[in-house]
Amino acid sequence: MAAEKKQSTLSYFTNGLIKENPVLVLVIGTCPTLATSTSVETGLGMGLAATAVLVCSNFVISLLHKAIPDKVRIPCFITVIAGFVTLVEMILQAYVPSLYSALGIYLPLIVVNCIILGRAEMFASKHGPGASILDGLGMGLGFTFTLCIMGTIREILGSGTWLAGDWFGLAPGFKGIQLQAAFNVPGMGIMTMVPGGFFTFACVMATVHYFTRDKSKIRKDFGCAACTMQDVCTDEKKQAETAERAHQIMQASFKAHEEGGKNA
Amino acid sequence: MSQFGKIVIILVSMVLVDNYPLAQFLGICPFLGVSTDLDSAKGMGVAVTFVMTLATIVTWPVQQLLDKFGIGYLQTVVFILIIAALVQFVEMFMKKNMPALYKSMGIYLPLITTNCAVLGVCISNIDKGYTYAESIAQAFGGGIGFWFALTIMAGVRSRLVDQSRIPKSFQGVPIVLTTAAILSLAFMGFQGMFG
Amino acid sequence: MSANEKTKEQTSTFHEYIYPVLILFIIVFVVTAALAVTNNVTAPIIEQKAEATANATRQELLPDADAFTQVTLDKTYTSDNGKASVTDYYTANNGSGAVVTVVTSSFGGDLTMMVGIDSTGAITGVEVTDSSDTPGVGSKDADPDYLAQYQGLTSLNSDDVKKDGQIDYISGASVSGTAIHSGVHVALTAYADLGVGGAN
Repeated sequence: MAAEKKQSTLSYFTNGLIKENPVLVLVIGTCPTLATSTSVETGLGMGLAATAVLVCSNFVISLLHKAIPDKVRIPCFITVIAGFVTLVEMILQAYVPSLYSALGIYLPLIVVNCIILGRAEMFASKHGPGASILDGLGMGLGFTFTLCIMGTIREILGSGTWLAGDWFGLAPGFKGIQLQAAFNVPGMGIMTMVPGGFFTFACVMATVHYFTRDKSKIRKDFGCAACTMQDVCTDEKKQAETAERAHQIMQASFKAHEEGGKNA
Repeated sequence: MSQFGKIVIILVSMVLVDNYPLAQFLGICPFLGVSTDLDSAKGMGVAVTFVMTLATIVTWPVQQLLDKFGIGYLQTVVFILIIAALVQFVEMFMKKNMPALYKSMGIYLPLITTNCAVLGVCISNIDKGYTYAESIAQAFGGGIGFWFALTIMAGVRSRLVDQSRIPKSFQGVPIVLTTAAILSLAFMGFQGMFG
Repeated sequence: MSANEKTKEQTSTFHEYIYPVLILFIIVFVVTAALAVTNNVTAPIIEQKAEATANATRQELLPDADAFTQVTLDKTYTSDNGKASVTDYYTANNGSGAVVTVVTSSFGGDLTMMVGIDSTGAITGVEVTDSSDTPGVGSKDADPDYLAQYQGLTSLNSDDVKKDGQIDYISGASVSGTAIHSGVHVALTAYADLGVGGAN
């Protein structure tokens, strides 16, 4: 019993890393993935910022969910998440200004990252604080991991360097691994631009599909109510059904006087 | 450049040059998710355009208020709550007064709260220091651009399913992303339209 | 979930309307308070860092300068097309030149730039310090090589970049070459007025 429980606790953490990797398997949080994976440094920065928000919001929401009425659930979650995002924003601006400006508008947009609201909705509001923190860490690090992979591919092909940057001011003057200089192959600038982002993402995801297509149990219910991706989240047959259900959940969560009309 | 000219340029550039999904990586989730057929692309496109414009009309003056009281740092919290409330309000209003319209695009409305293009346009209006009119132009143009990209994508996708043999690993989202890559390559051609 | 529904059926007005609103308000209030406290701590640090970065940029643009003094602007300097205006004017204490901070607007949003001008009136460098560009998308005009074209110029032939002839007219992604050109133009105007010692 004890051993079993220990294993399942650990699986909260490992789930997000591979099996339910938010970006590659569940296809959510795609905007920041594409936008901030131009280099490993910005990708890692984005991933860690989102992880911090995710862990904190998961923790707070798991503590508060009993006190929060169902109707105002989503606004309450959003407020908590937005609060933590603003905190992270302020701290980064004060202590790591280079990262703050590198992430730009995508930093406040962590608020609408489906991973965070999705986890609040599906996990934190149903589990205890400890499990929620582990889940947040796993999902956040899974997101960060994907960003680093994408960042690696795009940085090497696009800029001809790897791990370049001043690492948030920690390593001033560090130039990374200069592959371009070493092998005398010019970088393909397009890889750091928009089309390169889409294409890299496509290839990484296809690779994941190749290795997991037989055994994967993808498209799990993942807080679809809060996510714009619900259309592709489920099997095609279930699409309409899920959309309708998600719609109902959203409505129920927001307003009281809908109750009568919905049942009728 | 006259104020009017500037607004026209903002409008056109938001559709072609700075297209949200294809040039700025905003609103990718619905771009991939709701571009399966032309009808849903239309519903989503109209809903996003409408909410984006409305959100800008409300958030821009609110930011001036926040700045006046020196609490500009509450921007993110206030904006997302306003957007969530607006979406709810529009949905309720539409359900009561325009049931036909509600039927066709109502289902997309709740999804818009977490569409990063909506919050994105509200924040970028402030970041860019746009005037009220310019902000509304940017929001409206951004919405139209999103709709435009969604429609093209839906058109391409409806053919992808029937008439192409796609490698197994690329089926589903990867081939859509590859299509998006080629589309965005085409949109890069618009860069530098305005000096 | 079923327990929730059960209670919902027997709810009073308090549970139905007041309690949810109350909870939402409490959460908003707590979040606001936490942010206000953090802002009090971080705001001075942010300001200090920004000041330090601005000083470093000034030093970079005008390597001969020892230290800088801010000159109070008695009037506003705005370019003829109304796009660019001078926000700060710093002179080097040893008289080696001046650095002008200009905010210029293009259709892609506001752009903050600094123009270094030495004591002979020649531009020592132009740097874009803040733009509302989307990261990852990149822009040609903020490129150091592009900005380097302005180095050494003492005047611009025209206030229109297309008619100027000294500057390559490259159209960038969203930051326009026109905006940078107007910015440099108004910086030179301010310099002609204030010089390296300041007008007052």
